[in-house]
Amino acid sequence: MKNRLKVLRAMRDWSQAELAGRLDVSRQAVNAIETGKHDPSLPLAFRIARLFEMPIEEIFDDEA
Amino acid sequence: MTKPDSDDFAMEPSDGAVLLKRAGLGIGGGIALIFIAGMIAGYTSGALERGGPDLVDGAILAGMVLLAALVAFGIWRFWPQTVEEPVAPRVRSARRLFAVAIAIGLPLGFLLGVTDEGTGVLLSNAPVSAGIAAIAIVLWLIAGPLITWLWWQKIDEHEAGAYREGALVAAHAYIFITPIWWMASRAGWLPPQEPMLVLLAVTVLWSVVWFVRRYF
Repeated sequence: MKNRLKVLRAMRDWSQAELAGRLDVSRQAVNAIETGKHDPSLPLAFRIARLFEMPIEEIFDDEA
Repeated sequence: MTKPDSDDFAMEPSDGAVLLKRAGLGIGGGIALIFIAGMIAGYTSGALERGGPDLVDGAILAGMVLLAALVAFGIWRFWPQTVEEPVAPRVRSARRLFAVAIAIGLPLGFLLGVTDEGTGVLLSNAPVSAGIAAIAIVLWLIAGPLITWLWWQKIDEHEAGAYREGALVAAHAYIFITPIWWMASRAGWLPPQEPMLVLLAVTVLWSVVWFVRRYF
């Protein structure tokens, strides 16, 4: 599944570690999501969406 | 412009590569330093038996000390550095539990090693005293499951996925290795099955899959 996590993070000038801290996950988890190696669970996807104040479908795209 | 991350540059090594390099440098350099220390101790002892180190002995010993210093400098010089990063509370807790597991496991391994009566076999089946057996069993029965459960509660979903995938591969390896060895042993092609050896192989496989999925 494609996602805009890296772009959204860049727009806020956050490092992967900073984003990981805000989501209470490891930096490796953020890296794996950004590179498409790991699809987040629904609860984590909702946390990401709430953090960026965006609907989930504007961050994650299952048709790309 | 965003702050740099380990994956922002194509040439930047992965977390796994950095960990492997550290392990290689730490283990290899450590063994080299222990070896050189042994050489220095042995040579000094020999020199003392000959009536004390003379000028040549002193030069040779100085050379060995210089070699040890060079190895130590090499370890420091080539040790992969990473930027200090903030760590999520969940990750910090998981790391603490991992450290506790090592703090319990190392003395247990040391205890089993020193009480093993010189069989020299990895995972020996030699008899042990009731006291040692009781300590080991209590640790495996209570501390092992408890720490594993607490750790499982703390890891994030990415690591849990890596751990689950490792477990799946390990379980499949176990259900294939065990009957193959059992049948081959009954046919006289292999010695009787060693359950602890199978456990070790399966655990190593589990750890390798977890490591690769987590860090690469």
